Amino acid sequence: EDQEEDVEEEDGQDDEDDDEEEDKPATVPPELLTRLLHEFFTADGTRITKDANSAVAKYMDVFVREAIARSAVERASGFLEVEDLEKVAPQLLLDL
Amino acid sequence: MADPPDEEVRERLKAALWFAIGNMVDEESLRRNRNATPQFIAALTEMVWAQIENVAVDLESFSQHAGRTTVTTDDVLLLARRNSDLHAIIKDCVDRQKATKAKGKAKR
Repeated sequence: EDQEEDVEEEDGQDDEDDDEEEDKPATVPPELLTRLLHEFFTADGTRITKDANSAVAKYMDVFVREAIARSAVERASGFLEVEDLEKVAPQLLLDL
Repeated sequence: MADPPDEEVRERLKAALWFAIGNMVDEESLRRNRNATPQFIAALTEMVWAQIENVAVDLESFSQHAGRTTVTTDDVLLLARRNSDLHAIIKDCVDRQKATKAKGKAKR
């Protein structure tokens, strides 16, 4: 279970309550992101710096918000649905 | 070393990601006064999961290409090379982190 030392709260417990006094925008928790990246690295020795991890978090943040924004354009009003996301996905993946 | 089955680990990671994405969607929903169906959030989570995989593999390739085993911010910037707006956002993030560090103390 060595690999789990980076992430102590994987199941979405309220890690972010500590920062509730500031209006911190929701994001993928750094520890979770590190854990995910390591899951997909193909070489055992691959590491990532803390700053790089934060930068990737920023990238994913933009990705998610852009996906939502583009989906919202697809449908003038009402709930965002899977088909809205499906319509914007190809261009999103090309653009980002 | 007995590792837990990969499937199990991935399911838990995906669940944690789903929670995080859900929070982000909620935030945007409030801002835009638009709701999203749970299926939307699930589909978005799948998409993010796949994208993180692509990102991870790309970052690893970039760092290996540079003769390193550790992914750095340079590699992340390379990831954003196709989109100048995105690149600017990431660069700004990286520069601010460097500035914070340069002040002598690590923020966290």
